[in-house]
Amino acid sequence: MTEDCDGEEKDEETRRWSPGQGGSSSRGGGSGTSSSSPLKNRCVRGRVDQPPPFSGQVLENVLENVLQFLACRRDRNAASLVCRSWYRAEARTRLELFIGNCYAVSPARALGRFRCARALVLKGRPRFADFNLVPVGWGARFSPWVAAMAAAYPWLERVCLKRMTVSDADLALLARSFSSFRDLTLICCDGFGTPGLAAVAELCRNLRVLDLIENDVEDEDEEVVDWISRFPETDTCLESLSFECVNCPVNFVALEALVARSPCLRRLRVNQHVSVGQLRCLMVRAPQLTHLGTGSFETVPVADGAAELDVAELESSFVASKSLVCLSGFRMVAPEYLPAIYPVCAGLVSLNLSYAMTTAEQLKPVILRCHNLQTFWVLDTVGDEGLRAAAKTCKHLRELRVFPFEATEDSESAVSDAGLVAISEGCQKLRSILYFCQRMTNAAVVTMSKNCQDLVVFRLCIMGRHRPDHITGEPMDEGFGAIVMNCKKLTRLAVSGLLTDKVFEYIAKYGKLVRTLSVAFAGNSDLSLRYVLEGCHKLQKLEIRDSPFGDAGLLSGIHHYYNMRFLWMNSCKLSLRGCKEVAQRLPRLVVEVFGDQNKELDSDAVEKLYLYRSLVGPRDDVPSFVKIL
Amino acid sequence: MVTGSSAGEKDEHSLGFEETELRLGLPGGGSGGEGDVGKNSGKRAFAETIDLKLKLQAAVDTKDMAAEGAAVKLMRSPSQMSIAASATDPEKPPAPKAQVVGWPPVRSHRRSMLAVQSEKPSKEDGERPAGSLAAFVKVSVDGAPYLRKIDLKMYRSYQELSMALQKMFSSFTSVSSSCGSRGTNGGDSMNEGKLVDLITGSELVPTYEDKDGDWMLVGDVPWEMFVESCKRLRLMKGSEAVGLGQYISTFHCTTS
Repeated sequence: MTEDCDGEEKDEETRRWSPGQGGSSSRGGGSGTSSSSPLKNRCVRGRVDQPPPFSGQVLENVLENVLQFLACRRDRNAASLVCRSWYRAEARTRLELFIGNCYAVSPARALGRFRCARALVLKGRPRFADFNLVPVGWGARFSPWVAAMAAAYPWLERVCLKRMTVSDADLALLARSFSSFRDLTLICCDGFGTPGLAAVAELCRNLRVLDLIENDVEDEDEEVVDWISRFPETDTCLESLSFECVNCPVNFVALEALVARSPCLRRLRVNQHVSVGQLRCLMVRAPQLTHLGTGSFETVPVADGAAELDVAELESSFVASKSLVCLSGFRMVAPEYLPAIYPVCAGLVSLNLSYAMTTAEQLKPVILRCHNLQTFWVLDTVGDEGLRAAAKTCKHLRELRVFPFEATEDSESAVSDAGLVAISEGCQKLRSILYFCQRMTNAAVVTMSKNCQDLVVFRLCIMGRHRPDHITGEPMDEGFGAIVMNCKKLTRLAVSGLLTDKVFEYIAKYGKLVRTLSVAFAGNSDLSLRYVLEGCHKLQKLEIRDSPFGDAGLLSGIHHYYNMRFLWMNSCKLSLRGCKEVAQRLPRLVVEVFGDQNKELDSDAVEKLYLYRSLVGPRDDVPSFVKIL
Repeated sequence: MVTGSSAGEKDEHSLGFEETELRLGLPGGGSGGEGDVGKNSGKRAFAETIDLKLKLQAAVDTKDMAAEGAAVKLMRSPSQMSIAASATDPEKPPAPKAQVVGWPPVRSHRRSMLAVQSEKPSKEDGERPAGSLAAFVKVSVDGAPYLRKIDLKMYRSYQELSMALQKMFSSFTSVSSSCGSRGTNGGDSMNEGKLVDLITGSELVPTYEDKDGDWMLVGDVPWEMFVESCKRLRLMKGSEAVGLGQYISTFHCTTS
C-alpha cells in the first residue's frame, strides 16, 4: 500500500544550494562537485570527460567496485562531491535514479550524467494535484523521459512513476525499447488506458512487476482492450500484479489462466469486477500468495441461478493461503463473507479495509484476531468503538489510516478524539497516522504525543474548516504543539482545525526534523509562514492552501528555497510583485504562477504559486494558464 | 489583518450564512480558491429553450479528439468539486454548506469508489442508508484531447456547473469578458458564462446523454431532474448544432 510515500522517503536530497554562489567552489578539488552549482557546470563537464592517467584509471576502477555497494542515494550524493574521480565513479555506478521533481532536471542532463542506471523513480505533479488544485494539462509528462531513455538506457529494468501523465504511446514505447524491462509501478498517474497496458503485457517478456496503484485509468467503453489476454502464453515471471484501479471488467478466464501459469506470483490485487467466487478460483490457483487484493468481495448475481459461494468454501481457500501477510480490496464487501478471512488474520501484517463500510460490530471479530498487524487502513464507519478494538489487539501497529466515509465538512463521523486516545494508549509503537474526523480536542492530541513518541508522520484532518477543540472551544494550537514537542522523530506533519500563528511558532521551535508540512485554512498572519521558513531547517516540501500568508511571509524564505523540493501555495494573500521578487532574487528557482483563466493577468493577486529549484530553468511545456516569472 | 480573507469567508459559512453575495469587480475576485463568489446571484431568468434532441451520429464522427496525436493523450482527472460559494435560491430551504475544491483532502479515486458503493442496496441494518452520494459523469469538450469526470452532486444549479466547467477546461475555453449587470433577473449575467471556443470562435453548446441514450440540450429540465438523468456531458461546437434552430450557449435553469 503506497497511497502516499510518507516519511518513508528517508533519503531525501540534501544538497545545500546557496543562493548567489558563483565562481569556483571552495570545496577541495574544485570542480569535483555535483552539478549543484550551475555556473560551474560547463567547467565540471569539460574536466570530467578528460581521461585520467593510467594509475588514476586503476584507482577509479577500484573505486567503482567499492561504490557499487553504496545503495542509499544520499550517501551517493555525498560520495560524488569528494572529487572529480569520485564523481565519475559514482556516476558510472549509480543504478537507481531518483528524481523527486521531474522539472528539476532535464532528461538529457540526468541521463547524460548517469549512464548506467537501470531504474528510474520519477515524481511529477505536486501532491495537491490529487485534490483538484492543479488544473488539467499542467504538465509532468512521461513522454520526453521515455523517449530519452529509449535511446540512452537499453538495459533499463525498472520504472516507478508518481503523479505523472503517461500515455498509451509512452507505454508502448517503453514496452518496445527495453528488452530487460521487469518492473513497472505507476502511482496516481493518468493519461493511459488498457491499450497501453496491453502493450506492456505483450511486449515485456521479462515482466515481473506490474503495479498500478490509484491511477486514473481511461475506461472509455469503446476503447477497452482485453489486456490480460495479451500476456505471453508460456509461463510468465510475474511476481506482482496489481490493477485495483483499472475500472474495466477483466476477462476472467484469461486472468485465471495467467495466474495458473505464473508460478512466481506472490502479489495479486484485482479490481472490483472480480467477484468473490472468482477470487476463490484465483486463490486456488495461487496458494503461495503473500499479498492479496480481494476485488469486490461480494457475489455477482449469476443469471443461470448457480448457487452463491459458500462462506465455508471461501474460508477454506484462506486456510490454504498460508503465506498471506497483506490483505486489501474489499471494494463492495458483503459482510457475510468477512469471516472467511479469520484463518489468516493472525498472520496479517497489513490490512486495508478502507473501501469497506464495515461497522464496529463487523470489524471486531476480524481485528481481534490480528495480533501481528502493523499497518491498518480503515473507514471511519467503524467508529471509536472499532478503533478501541484495534487498540486492544494490535500492539505492534505502526501505521494507521482512518478515512472518512463521507468526505464533506458537515458529515457525521463516527470517529473522534476518543478513538485517537484509545489508539494512542493501545498502540504505542505507532509511527504513522492519518486521521480524518469531525471532532477533536487538544487533550487527545496531547495524549497521543505523549504515548506515541515514535511518531514520524502525524496527519490529522479535522474536516470542518477552522473547527476548534470541540470541548474547550480553543484553537488546536496546543495539541499540534505537543506533537512537535514530544515526538522528536517527526518528519511529516499535516495540521487542521482552528489554528493561530502560535502553532507555527511551536512547529518552528520544535519541529527541527520536519521535512513535509501541509497547511490548510490556518494561521492569522505572515508570522506563521515566517516562523516555519526560518525555523524548520530541514523543510523540503511545504504545501499551503487558503491561509492568510502574503508576500512578507513568502520573502522570508528566500534563504531556504534552494534547499527545498518545492513550495506550493494556493488561495493565500500573495501578489505578483512578491512572487516576482522571489524569482528575481533566486535565479535558479522556477516560480510558476497560475490560476483562473477568468482573471486578468495583470491583476496583482496570485491564486496559485508553485516554486521549485531547477537545474534547467523554466520548462518548455508550459501551458497557457501558467506563467513563469 | 487583511479582511475579506478566505478565512473570513469560511467563518461566515460556518455560521450558516446562506446569503448570496453581490459583488462587483473582476470575476474570480482575489480571495480564496473559491474565487467565483461574485458570480452568483439568486434566481436565473427563464430563457427560451427549445427541447432539442441531438442524435449521436454527428458526435461520433467528430470524435477523433486528436487522441492519436503525440501530444498529451486523454488526460482525465478525477472530478472537480464545486467552487461556488453560497448561491442558493432564497426560496429554497438553506442548502448544506458550500463545498470547497479539494477539501477535505480525500482523493477523488476514493470518493468515487465509496459513492458507487453507497448506492448499492444496503443489506445491513447498521449500514448507512443508501442514498446516492455522488453522480459522476464524464465530460468531454470538443477540441480538448482529454475527458474529465465530475460529480454532478457537487453543484446545485446549472450556473455552478458552468463555472466549474470553465475552470476545468480553462486552457481550451475563455470567458467572454462582458461583465453584465447583476440584476436579480439574472438575464444579462448569463452572458458572463458563455463558453467560447478559443480556437474556432464558435460557442460551445452543452449537451448531455440521458438515461435513454438520447442527446439533449442542457438546461431544459429542472436541475435535480438533470442530475438524475444525465449520463455524460459533451460540450459541442456550435457548428454541430446547425440546423437545429435557436440554441442556447449558456446554462439556464428553469424555475420549478
